[in-house]
Order: sequence, then C-alpha cells, then structure tokens
Amino acid sequence: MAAREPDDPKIVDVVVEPDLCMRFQNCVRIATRAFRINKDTGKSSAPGWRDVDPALLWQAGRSCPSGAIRLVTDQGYVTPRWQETDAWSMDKHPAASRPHDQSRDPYKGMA
Amino acid sequence: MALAADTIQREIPPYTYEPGDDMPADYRQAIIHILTIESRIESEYPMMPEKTLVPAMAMAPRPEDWVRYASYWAQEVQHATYWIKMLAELGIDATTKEFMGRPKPIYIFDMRDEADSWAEWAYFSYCADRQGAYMGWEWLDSSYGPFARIAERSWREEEGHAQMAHEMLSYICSTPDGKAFAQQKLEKWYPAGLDMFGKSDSTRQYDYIRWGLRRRTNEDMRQAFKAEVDALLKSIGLEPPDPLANRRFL
Repeated sequence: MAAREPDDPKIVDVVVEPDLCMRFQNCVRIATRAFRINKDTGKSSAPGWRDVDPALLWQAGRSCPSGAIRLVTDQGYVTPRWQETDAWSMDKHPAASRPHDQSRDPYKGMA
Repeated sequence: MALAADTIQREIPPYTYEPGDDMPADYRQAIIHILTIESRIESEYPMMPEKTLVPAMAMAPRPEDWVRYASYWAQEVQHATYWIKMLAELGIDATTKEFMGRPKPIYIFDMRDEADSWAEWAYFSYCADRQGAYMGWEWLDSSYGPFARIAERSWREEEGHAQMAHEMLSYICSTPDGKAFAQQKLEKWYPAGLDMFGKSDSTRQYDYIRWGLRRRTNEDMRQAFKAEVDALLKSIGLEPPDPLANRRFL
C-alpha cells in the first residue's frame, strides 16, 4: 500500500544534487528502479523516477544521509531529509507507540 | 549444541505487541535487553561526540571525508532517538549518566574508542554498521510493533553506513602502502567483526526466534556476514584472515 503525503504533492521531477551526493547509495537500495549509480563517480541520479511508487521516492529522500535528493513537486521543491528533520519530534517518532491498524508505515512518523 | 533457525517454530505473529500492552514478562525483558544494547551503543553519537565525531574528523584524510562522516554521524544521532524513545515507552530513561555509564555490550565499540587511524575507523563501520543493518533486517515483521516499524529504515540506513566504510577502505587500499596497512589492521578487526554476533550456542537466540524478535541464529548471521565481507575485502585486494584466529566467541 503506497504511503501518501499529508498534502499529497505531485512529484514532477527528482534531482540528486551531485555536490551533495556522498555515495551512501541508500536510494538505489530503497527505490531500485528509480536511481542509478554512475560507475565513474559513484554518485546517483534518478532517470527512472517515473517507474516507481512515489512513496519509495519519499523514503529514499528521507534516508539520504546528506540530503542530496530533492523532489520537485507541484507545490515546490522538497528535500525530504531536511523536511523530516525540521519536524523531528519525539512525540511523533517513527517508532513510537500507535494503534495496530496504523502500524505498517516505517516512514510515516514525522508527517 | 547449536540449532538451525528453520527448526524453531515462531510462536508470536508480526505486530502483536505495542509498548503499553500486557505482555509476557520474559518477552518484555527481551525487548528491554535488545533496546538497551542499541541505545547504549548509539546514544554515544549525540551524547559523546568526543568519542564518536571529534576523533574521526581529526583522522579523516580529505575534506570530502569530513562531509561524508558528518552526514553519517547525523543519521546515527537520529537513530539514537529511536532507541531512546522506544525505551522511554517502556518506562526507562536511557539518557541518564547511570545508563550511559554501563559497560558497552559489544567489545568492538571499545575498540573504536582506541582506533588510531582512518583505517580503523573504516573497519569499525565496516563491521558494526553492517551488523546494525543485519539486525534491522531481523526486525522486519517483528512481533513488537516499534521494531517492525523502524526495521526498514534501520536496515537500509545502516547499509548505507557500511557502504561508506567500504569507500573509506577502498581509498586507503588505493596505494600499496595503504593496502599493506589495511591488511595489518584487518587481522585485529576481522575477529571482532565475527564475534559481534555472539556465541553460536546461546540459548537466548532461540527464545528470540520463537517470540518473533529474530529470524536467524547467531551463527546464520555470522556466516552471512562473513560471506558478504570476504567478497568485499577481496574486491579491493585484501585477504580475509583465518576466521577462527583470535576469536573470543565461537
């Protein structure tokens, strides 16, 4: 089941900032078909972003340690890593206690 | 005698318990034990930067390594909040001096505190962060809801940290002198990496599998780790040492 962002922005492009990409490669493990690694630089780009569930793009963005992934949406640019950090709160923590029927989305906590 | 994981019947289904639920005392104690290990280790990132950040910055060979390590460190700080929150929900304050004054539960973390080179910092993450990724994978569909929710992130993000370590080591091995130095240090870190998974005949591991808190035995995880690490080490020209040499736990 795809996760939906609360204000449901539509992704219109995905940009990996080359200067910020630190080659952790979380993106290719999380959204495998969306991202590719440049064999020479080790850095990623997102040529296949249209081919995956948008929820995976948000997950990849949140798990990028250096915040290199920017989602261009119909509501403006978002860097999911920093968006989540801005909202970081122990009260809304991803692993925090919650009802069982709301317990299956590991990336939903900060929304 | 060690048992195979597939001979042990799981008794508690995924997402069965939340922190406020009435749960068996032994199960609750197991949750606290796991979280205590995670929190004691990872809370050192925010609470002891003099151990976890400052030495690495001093040893990092290039400015880009500062940036990459700082990104890694920040994500580990975030991870620390997972465990602190999860323990708080069970009534335990993991931010006290008393809690953080306990001995570290896995000796490789003491080795990091004495690391004398960038190669040793690389080996620390090569082993410890990879083990963290393995534990995250264990918790997918955990019987304890908070573990199940955090599993995928922990798994994927710790894999990224292990990838960083491989890049650190690859850079060191890009010169003959660097490779010789890395091979020498590997003799010290390789057994500690294999020891991270504990004793093969520990009885606690079987309870954890039955209760849906783990999927593999200690030895299953150790062998998966060895196969993955050996292939990566060989890909950059390093020779894995004798897996039985200098081990503390078999």
